[in-house]
Amino acid sequence: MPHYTTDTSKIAFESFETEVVLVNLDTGHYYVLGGTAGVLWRLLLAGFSPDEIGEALTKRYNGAADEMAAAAQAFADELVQDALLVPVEEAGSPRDSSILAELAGTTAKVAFEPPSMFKYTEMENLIQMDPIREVDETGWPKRQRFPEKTN
Amino acid sequence: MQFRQASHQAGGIDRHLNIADSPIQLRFAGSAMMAKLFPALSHLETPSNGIPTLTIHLWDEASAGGMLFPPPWDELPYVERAQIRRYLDDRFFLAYDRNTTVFVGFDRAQALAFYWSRDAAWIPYFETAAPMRHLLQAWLNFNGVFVCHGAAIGLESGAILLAGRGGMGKSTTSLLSLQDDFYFLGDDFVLLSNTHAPTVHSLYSSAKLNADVVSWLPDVQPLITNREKIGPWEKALLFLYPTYQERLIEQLPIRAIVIPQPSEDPTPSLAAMGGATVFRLLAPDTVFRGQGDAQRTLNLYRELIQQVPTYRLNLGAVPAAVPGLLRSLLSPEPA
Repeated sequence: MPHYTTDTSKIAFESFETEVVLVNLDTGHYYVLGGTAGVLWRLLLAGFSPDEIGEALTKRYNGAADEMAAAAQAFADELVQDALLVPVEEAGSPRDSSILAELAGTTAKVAFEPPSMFKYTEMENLIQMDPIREVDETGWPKRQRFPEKTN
Repeated sequence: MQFRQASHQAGGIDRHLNIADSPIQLRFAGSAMMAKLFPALSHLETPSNGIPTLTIHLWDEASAGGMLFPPPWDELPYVERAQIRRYLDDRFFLAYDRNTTVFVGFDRAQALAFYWSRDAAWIPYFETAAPMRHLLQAWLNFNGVFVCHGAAIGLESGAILLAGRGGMGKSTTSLLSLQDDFYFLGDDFVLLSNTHAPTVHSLYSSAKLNADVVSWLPDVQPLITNREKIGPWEKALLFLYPTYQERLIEQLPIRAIVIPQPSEDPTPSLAAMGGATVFRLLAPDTVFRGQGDAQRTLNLYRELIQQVPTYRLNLGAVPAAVPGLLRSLLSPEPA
């Protein structure tokens, strides 16, 4: 069963109200996860496999466990593709089961909406630049020159 | 060693600042660096008072001597993002900024930092407007203080943090408010803390304006320092200290966060804005522009936005009406 973690040297995230915002420090991309995407993120990060997640989601959502497990797996694959998650051999120990308790405490089930992730790239130019390559005889990079007004 | 030699050669100049309640000492070797870096910070100058929490040595090779050779980057687990090559651990910070040709670093154990360039004349105007930002950001993070890409203005009752993307009107709004007798804490970068309560601290008394809005701000036009260079690649740069020293304040509690945005409606207006939307607009921008700890920055913004109301400011076509709207946010409610 696949498990996942995140590289905290490159990925930072925060939950705010019903959303989870993730930033990728290497690419300058940030992501907003809402609804079931936020729930799946928390479960994947807590070390639960997609199959375990499918079972857990039946406490809150109407839907078949295997279908929701498949949705969790597809979502995990998407997160891995954007380097937001990293597959690992085994789940970390101990696993944070607080979200399982939250799901189990649901009083009325709701329909399961497939997870969606919004990706924003407009700030990538703040991060993605050519690395320093050219240096002069002192070992320092050559001076960066900026355009100047000439008249 | 190199700074001592440079200071001996060019003459040492000491200044003391209070930045977000942290006493910081600046030691310049010669006047070239001081002319480039001190004006934007001069409003925070204080008499020497006790032991500084950080001493920063500042010099350049061209005017003061003291050539530094680059650190052995190949032996350090550095990170290179955008134009900055950086190394950071619990004790040491090193960063070379290709944009500004500046090399900075600090040793937390010794409370000692340096800021060095091969030539002070190479330091671009935007660094003069916001000097030592990366160095100060990395240092102040350890004290729970964060650099925010935003402006701040206020009254006795508190401050409004003007946040959002570049070009949306933060600088213009902050200077219009200054002209309307608001306190000014910054137009592009300010400091935030939440140790006891959400607080904004002033860092720079400079302001940068696009050429097309200068005419809206007649009161500050005489303070522009680079009039002959204003154009597509250089904004108007002005320093508000000492002319506006009565309107410059070190810190205020944050009473609201406002996101200025252009609007097709000619009448300026305020509307409540969801905290999640504000978080999305504000937090990643600061993270990507800064050198601090990204996770702690996100944590701070979550706490901050949960504690203060958030609004969208539709700027409209009548800029003079904007300060009055903002004043209404800071006025006490009638009994």
